[in-house]
Amino acid sequence: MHKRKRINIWVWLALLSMLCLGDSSRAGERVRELKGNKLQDCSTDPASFSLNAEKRLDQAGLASYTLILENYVGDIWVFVRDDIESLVITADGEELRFKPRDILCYRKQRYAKELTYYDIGEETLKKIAAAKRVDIEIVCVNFTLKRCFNKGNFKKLREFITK
Amino acid sequence: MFKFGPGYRSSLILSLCVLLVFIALARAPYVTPLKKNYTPQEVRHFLHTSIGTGWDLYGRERIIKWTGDIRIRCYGEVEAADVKTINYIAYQFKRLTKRPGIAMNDENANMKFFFIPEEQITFHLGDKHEREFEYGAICKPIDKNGVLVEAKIFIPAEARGERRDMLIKHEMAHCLGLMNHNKYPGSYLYQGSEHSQARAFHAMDKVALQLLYIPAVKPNMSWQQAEEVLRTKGLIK
Repeated sequence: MHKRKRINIWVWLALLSMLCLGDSSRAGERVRELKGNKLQDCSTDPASFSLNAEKRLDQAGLASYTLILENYVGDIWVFVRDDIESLVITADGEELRFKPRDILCYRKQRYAKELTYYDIGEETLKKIAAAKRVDIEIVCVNFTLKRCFNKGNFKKLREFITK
Repeated sequence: MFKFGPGYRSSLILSLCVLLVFIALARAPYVTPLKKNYTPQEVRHFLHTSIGTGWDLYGRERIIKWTGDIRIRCYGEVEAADVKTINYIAYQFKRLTKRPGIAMNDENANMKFFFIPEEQITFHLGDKHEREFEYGAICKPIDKNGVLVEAKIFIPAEARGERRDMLIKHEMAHCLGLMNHNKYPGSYLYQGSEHSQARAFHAMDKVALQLLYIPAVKPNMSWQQAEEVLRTKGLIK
């Protein structure tokens, strides 16, 4: 009886750890993070976005980068498309397209938060950071939204790359 | 020692076959067969609900129907009861017609439900032309051949209980091809049906869906063409 109880506890602990650790980020230690990188509105739509990033190191020491598009609390619910390349970054005229690896949504009444994860290579990230002009298109299920980088966005991304 | 004879073996195989057939039949949804023929009133109801309404964004008075399978996906604040209601309508639809197939499927969904705050519906509808349908709204991009290729259904997240349930049923019935409202209070498509207590498709709506999805009734047919096809097939009394 006691043994069974103990087994049950282990099962629950395993499930709990899977839930806690099972975030959408790649496995591996997060070594660097870009947060609060709010994008400038280029149009008058009511949604607001941040384009954050993180760097992770796997056990072999290999680095991987992820762009995290964050749609904010209390705004319009956007539903970023997960079946196509829904993030289009135009850096100095060069179009870079990204398909989401995963999307996490938290919604309750007026509270909404949507996190979309895109894998990106280091060189591509450097190219974006080094550009003079960056325009962003976010393809959602019912519309496409446009944003652009301002001085603050460039500064934050460059700091993230060079740190 | 007792040995099984060849007769026993054959009867065992036979009973296994019967069991397999029984399981197959039990799993496949029963599709209501078409009647021998339909009354002129039933045919008129079918044509009235399926053809020519103010809902047709292209202003055509033609048959509009799905030809490929319907894949349903839900976005936003979806509740378990919503999924149950959608599955129930899909089940009823499957019982009326073999094709098109209909099921929940996130991959390449072509019938999309949005459970979003009411104030956001207009923004999501976007196109000026579609803004007329603000409330529990639907929009239906239709290709030029009268084939339904995508449907979007907007349900206010604030709607609760019976009202929410009826909004889902009403809008989904429209998106299955029954574009017009009707005068039967027990129908999902009764004008103002969010206050209705309808639990299933009305008998007249069942007839309309069955006739709409007869292969001979093609998308883009006019009232006269569809009526002529039914007459040729001997389906009108």
